[in-house]
Amino acid sequence: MSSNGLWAALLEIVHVSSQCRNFWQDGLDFSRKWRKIVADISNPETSAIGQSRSRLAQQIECLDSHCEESLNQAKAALASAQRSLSSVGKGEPADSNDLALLEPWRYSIVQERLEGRSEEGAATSPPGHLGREIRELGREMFTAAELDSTLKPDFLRTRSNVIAIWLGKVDASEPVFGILSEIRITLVDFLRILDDQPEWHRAIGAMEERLGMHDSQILGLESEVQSLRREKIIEWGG
Amino acid sequence: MGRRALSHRHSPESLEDASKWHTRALEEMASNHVPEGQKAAAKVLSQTIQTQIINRISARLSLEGLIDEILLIFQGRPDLLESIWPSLERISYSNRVRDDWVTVARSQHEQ
Repeated sequence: MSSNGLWAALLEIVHVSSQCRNFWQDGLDFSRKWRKIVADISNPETSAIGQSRSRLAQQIECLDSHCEESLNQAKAALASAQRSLSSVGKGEPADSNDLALLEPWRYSIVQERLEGRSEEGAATSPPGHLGREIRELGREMFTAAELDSTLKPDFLRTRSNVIAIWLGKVDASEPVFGILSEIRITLVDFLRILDDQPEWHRAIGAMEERLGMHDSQILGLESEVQSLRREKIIEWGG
Repeated sequence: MGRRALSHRHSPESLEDASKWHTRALEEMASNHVPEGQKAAAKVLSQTIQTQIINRISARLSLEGLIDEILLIFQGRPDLLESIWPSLERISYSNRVRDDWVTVARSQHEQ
């Protein structure tokens, strides 16, 4: 490869790896903030809400780890590409370790250009690399989720949208696919619980209303209200 | 799937009638002359029991309204109703009133 060709290839790797780094950084912030919100849900572990919350927390932790690992890989590729560019700019040979690290990135970029994101391309992508569509969509996707999350329950809905978009842009062979799929399943369950909240609030509210009445002492009502509240109403705690 | 029915239910009308009947009986009991000795104590005791009966009927009446309200809220949501059903059964059982407390009013009324 001519030095001009190498220069152009390195520039493109810098561009792509920098987009990937930004995506994973945003993804990491996204999942960490989400973990905090989910940790605020204070229902008992034995309740349906508590069980769903625990599953979701574990899955988000996996996503968090995956984002962090991928971020480090993208950062390493970016640093190698920048060092190599600097060497080539000075007319010196690039470090062979850097070039070895960048080879799969160059291959993926060439594949992407030739045929779009193919299954083969996705399977052989280096860790931290993302397909064009998702890496270009990342910032918009994560920012929209934050802007739309004015209330705590909204976090689950906006993040569900992000997960659906993200899942639609990754290949089943990519490690993140499994993590996102599991999160999706748990979120469907959690959103169903959230959707039932107005009815539960009304029903438990009707019961609580009678607790305050002086002329009626409905036996056992208070303990049933407390138990139903713990089981059926999402307590956001914190 | 047919909806199960809650046990121990009474219509609001029958409970209201029963409450009125027991209240009237209590008033009549209070207006009588208080006999001496053990009879006085027996009268106080029966008045206390009568008051308790009226309170339990009143609680049951309130519970009947609550059950109807919850059935209405969960109308078209059999999954939610299924989920609250054990609670309703427990409260309904704890607040059951004896049939003769209710039927006494009806039978007296019919006489």
